[in-house]
Amino acid sequence: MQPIEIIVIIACVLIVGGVIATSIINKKKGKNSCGCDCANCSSCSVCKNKKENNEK
Amino acid sequence: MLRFALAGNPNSGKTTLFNSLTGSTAHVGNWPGVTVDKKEGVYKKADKPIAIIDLPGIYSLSPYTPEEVIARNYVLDEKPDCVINIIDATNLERNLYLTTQIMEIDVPVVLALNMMDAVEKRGDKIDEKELERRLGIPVVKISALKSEGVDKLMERAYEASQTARKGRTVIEDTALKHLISDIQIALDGQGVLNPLFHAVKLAELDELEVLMHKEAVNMVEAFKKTHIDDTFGDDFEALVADARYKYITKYFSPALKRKNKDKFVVTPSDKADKILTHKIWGIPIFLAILFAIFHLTFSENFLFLGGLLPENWVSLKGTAFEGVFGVGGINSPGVTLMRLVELLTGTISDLIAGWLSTSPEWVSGLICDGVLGGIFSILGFLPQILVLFMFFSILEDSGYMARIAFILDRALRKFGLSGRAFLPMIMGFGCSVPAMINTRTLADEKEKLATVRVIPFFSCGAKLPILTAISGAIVASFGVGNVDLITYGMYLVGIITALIAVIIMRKTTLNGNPPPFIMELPAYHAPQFRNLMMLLWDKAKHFIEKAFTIILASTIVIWFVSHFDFAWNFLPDDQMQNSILGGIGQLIQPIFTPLGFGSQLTNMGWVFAVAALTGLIAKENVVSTLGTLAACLVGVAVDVELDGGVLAVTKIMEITKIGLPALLAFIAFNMTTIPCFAAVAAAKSEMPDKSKFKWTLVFWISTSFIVSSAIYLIGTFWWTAFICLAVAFIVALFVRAYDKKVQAKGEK
Amino acid sequence: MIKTLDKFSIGESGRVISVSGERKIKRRLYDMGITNGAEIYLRKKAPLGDPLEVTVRSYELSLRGTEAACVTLEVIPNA
Repeated sequence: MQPIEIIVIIACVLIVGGVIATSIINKKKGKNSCGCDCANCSSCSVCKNKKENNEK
Repeated sequence: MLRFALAGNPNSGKTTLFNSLTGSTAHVGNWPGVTVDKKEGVYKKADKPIAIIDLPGIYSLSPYTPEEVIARNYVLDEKPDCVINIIDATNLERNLYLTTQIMEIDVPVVLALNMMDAVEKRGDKIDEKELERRLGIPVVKISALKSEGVDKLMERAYEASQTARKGRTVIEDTALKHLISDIQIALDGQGVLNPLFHAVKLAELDELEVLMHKEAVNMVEAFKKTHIDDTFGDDFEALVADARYKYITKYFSPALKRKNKDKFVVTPSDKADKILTHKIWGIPIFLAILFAIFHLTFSENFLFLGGLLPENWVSLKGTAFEGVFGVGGINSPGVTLMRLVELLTGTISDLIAGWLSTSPEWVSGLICDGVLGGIFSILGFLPQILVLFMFFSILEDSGYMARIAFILDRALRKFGLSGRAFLPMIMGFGCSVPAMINTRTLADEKEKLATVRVIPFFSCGAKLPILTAISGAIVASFGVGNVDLITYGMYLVGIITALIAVIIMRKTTLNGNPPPFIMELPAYHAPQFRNLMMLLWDKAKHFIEKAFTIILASTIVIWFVSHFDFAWNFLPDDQMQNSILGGIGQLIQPIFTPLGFGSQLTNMGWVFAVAALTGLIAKENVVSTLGTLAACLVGVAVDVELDGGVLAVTKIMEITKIGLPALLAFIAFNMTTIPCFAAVAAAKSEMPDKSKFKWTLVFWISTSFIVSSAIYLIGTFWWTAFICLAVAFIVALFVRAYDKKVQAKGEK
Repeated sequence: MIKTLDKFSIGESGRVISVSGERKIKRRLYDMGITNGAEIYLRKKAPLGDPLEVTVRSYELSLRGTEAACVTLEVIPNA
């Protein structure tokens, strides 16, 4: 295999794995990724709520 | 670390003050057990950092809404070191109503007189020293917007927090005073904290107090029997409210010196309001404003000047910027920006394709077709998403939206909603998630559920690429229509579907009367440029973040899964139908036949089914998947002239031989079906009841199938319109019958 | 003259005599400043006549006809 192939494969694994892992960690923490900004958007606050719901 | 709580009416500038105190340290969480915002941050300008907690905006501490309960319990149970009560100085009396209640708690309180600039503009004056003397708590003038007086406020709050404070009440009615003091003594004897506050609430027979202090209730009941007030009878709640306002008017209002003794002054805000909420012109103006927004964002024939201009005047044919400013007609600002981005991405793609020309086939395939083809197909839409978002933010920030809710309330009531449901729905045009969370302002559970369910039909920013790419492709290939008209039309389809769905829901499973609509109408004010820019920057950041994480990962996975078959052999582009993805796609493809993009398409037709499926992760994926697959199928990833999502869809259209009605059905399907996982999670968190959530999923799937197949069938076989109408009629009859039955049951 | 708020015409003002209705609505009206003795000025009616926009205690409030019907006022003649 050429070196570039190896690089690309590693990159892919890292990216895909990283995204999936981060999503799962965020879900456990209760954070949500929706493309909105919580500090400025006064009505976006899914952060702690899911955690409380999960713990019940 | 000291903890200060911010309390005040909604629209008093609390959020602005909170932001200026905490800056980027602000962090939004949630109050346990309830679905309300909890905002915390740190004030770092003092010697030691002080924690700031922003309590929800409330009008009173009586348990009318969850927000009031939260604020009240926080101050009573968490014992902050100081409560900063922020007051909108332009309506002093109503704001002070809350103050008199906060003051009954044994906690240091400091008053922040906000919006002093507005007061001074009117020529009025407030003697804050006089107010301080009469209230007995420190009073500081501030302008949260201009960050004036904020440091002084924090200094005085710090001073106040160093000394304990005993609650004080303004209720002067002698009989009531005796009762309250009796209860207070009793509670104090039991070691209850904040006895005065509880005593006053008990005299009102406040629901929460009654549960906590049952013995004291007997005292109140006994008292009631012996003492009937002339005006209020035994309604102590009315008596207490009345007593508060009497005191406020008598002792606190004199601190406000009006320039204009005339009770009802006309301000510039009033003048604007007269036009914008005019009895006859109000709604047409609103619709015109909405259309203008769409036109500025999506139109490829700006101001409809297309026919009037000399040919090729705008298209800059032959130059590097060909097509950017228009082809035929002039491009609107939104579209121009999109073309510029596409020019950029096109150039980058070519560059990278050049670099990789010597690499193994699969590497260049993955990177050029898969990754770049996918991501660049949606990146072009970022400008339009931002432009749309900006316009809606301006409408909301200026206070116009609240006024529209007022106008539309009567109309919305016919659908079983109140005017207040309007705001979350409009927010849905930006992103469904904050919109669903905003439904918390709807006190009525059934109205809230109905609203949450239809919010995805108000196509969010992520669905915008789907609308624009397909509309653009339709116009380019079939030569019919205008991009902005088709887009506007499809948005309308979403809205109409939402309204019909709400009517049906409200008449059947979520039957109920529209909830009360007593709402403050804040004055208009010019939106803050700086805040707007910060908001847009943040939105852009998030979009790009999302594109280079989730969407990137998705395109990689899709490329791999479409280039390997089940035996792990690598397949070249033209054999995609034999891949894993192709296999899955062809399996589910038949489901979509009634919608026009199922088995009736060519052997590549499964791409639509797959694209829709990837939309579950993020709606941007629908176009990026089409982009990736199109790039593979065509061979050349990128074309400088007309780049991005539109080209991808055009190519797919050619290959799959999909028809116009089916394309529209595809748009409609994606607009009304299950939204992205983030929105699904948001919806779930707003519906504690699991069964309601399951039905919501069913609702989304069935609505999307019904609407899309209707569009496809009527579009293809026009006579099916009659069948659809007949079905609709029968359904309407059923719904009416059900409604009558439920109403009759309710009246028994 | 005494009448309920929903019967007011645009431009009329009155002083509150009593507030009736369901407990939740009453409480909400009190919290928003509609108590005995408060002055209310009817600024506007939405297209279709409902909801109403009133000025009370220096700010604007909107409420429906059914809620306005809970507020009884004595009309203040325009000077």
